[in-house]
Amino acid sequence: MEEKERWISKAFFLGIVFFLAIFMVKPIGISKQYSMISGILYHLAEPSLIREDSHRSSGYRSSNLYFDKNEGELAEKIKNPWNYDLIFLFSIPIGAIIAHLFLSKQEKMYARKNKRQITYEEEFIEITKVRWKRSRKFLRAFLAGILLLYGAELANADIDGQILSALMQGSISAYLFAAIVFAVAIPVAIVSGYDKSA
Amino acid sequence: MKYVVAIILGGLLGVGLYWMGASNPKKTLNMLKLENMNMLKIYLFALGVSSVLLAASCMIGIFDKSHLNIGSTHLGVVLGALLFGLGFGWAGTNPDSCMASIGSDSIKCGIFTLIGGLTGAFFYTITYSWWHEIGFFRLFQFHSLTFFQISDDIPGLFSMGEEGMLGLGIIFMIIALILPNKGVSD
Repeated sequence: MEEKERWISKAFFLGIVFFLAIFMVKPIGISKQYSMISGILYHLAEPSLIREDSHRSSGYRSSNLYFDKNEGELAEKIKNPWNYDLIFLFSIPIGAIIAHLFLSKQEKMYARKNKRQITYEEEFIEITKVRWKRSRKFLRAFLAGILLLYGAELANADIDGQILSALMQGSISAYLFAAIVFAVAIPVAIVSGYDKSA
Repeated sequence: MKYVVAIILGGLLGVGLYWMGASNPKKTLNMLKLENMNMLKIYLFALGVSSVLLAASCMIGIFDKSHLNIGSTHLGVVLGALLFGLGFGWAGTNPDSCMASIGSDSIKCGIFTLIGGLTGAFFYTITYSWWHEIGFFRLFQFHSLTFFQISDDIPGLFSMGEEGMLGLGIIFMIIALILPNKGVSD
C-alpha cells in the first residue's frame, strides 16, 4: 500500500473513534481513571478513606479533599469501580493486543523493507549497551509516568481529556495546554535523545 | 449497554493507537524530534476528521450537546502542561498510548509508565488539598471557553458556530496533507 494511503487510513480510523466516543457517551479522557485506580489501592490500605453518607447525591464522603470534591463523585467511583470509564481503560490494551496479533507481521515486513541496514560494528555496540540502557529506559518510563499524570491532573481539574478530545471541541484551555506540551516536549525529546537500541 | 460501548470504543482506540504507532515510544519520540512526520500528520488529520464529524452532527441536530466537556483555563493548565510536556518529551508516551503499549511489544515500558502514572496520580490526590488551600486553581482563572459558539452553555470566542468548527477541521486536514512526508518509513 502507498505510504499516503497508509497514514490517511490510520488518521480516518482514529478520527472516527474520537468522534464516536463523544457522540455516543463523552470525550475520551484517561487520566481520571489513573486517579480512580490509585484511589482504590489507597482505600484498600486505608479503609476509613471513604465512608457512606446518605445526605449526599453520590452517597459517599471522603477524608481526602480530591476524592470528596463534586459531592464525593470520585469517592463513589472508587467504591463502585465497574463503570464505563474503567472498562474503557482496560479495553485499550485488549484492542492493542488484537491489533498486534493481526498487524504486527505486516508492519514488521513493511518496516524491514524500509529499514536502513545497520553495520555489524553498530550492532555490536548496541548489544553491549543494551542491558544498561534497558534499566535506564524503564526508570525513565516510571518517572515520566509520574510527571505525566501529575501534570494531567493538575491541568484537567474537572474535565475528561485535555488534548485531542478537547481540541476537537475547540476548547481554548486545550489549545493552551497542547501548545505548552509540544513547546516543552520537542526540545526535551531532542536534547534527551533516545537509545535507539533500547 | 454502556459497558458494551466502553469495550468497543476502548478496544477501537487501542487498535488505532497501535496501528498508528503511538504504542511504540520510539516512534513517538521520532515525531517529537521532528525526524518522522508520519504520526504528527495522523494526529492532525484525525483531529480534523473528528472536528468535521462533530460539526456536521451538530448542524443536522443529532448531537447531544450535554456530551461536550470543556475545561476552564487557569494556572494549573500551564504548570500541568509543563510537567506533562517534560514526561512526554522524555519518554515518548502519554496516559493513553501507554495503555496501548501494554498490549504491544513495548509492554514493559507501558507497565512502568502505568505504575509511574498511578504513583503520580496518588501524589496528586494527597497534594490536592495544598493546591486548593493556597488558591492555586483560582489564579488566572477564566471560565470554560471555546473558539466557536457551539453550545448555549459555553461562551465562544467568535460568534461563528458549527461552521467555524467545520472550517477549522478542514484546515487541520489540509495542514496534515501538506506537511512533508519526512521519515515516513520509520
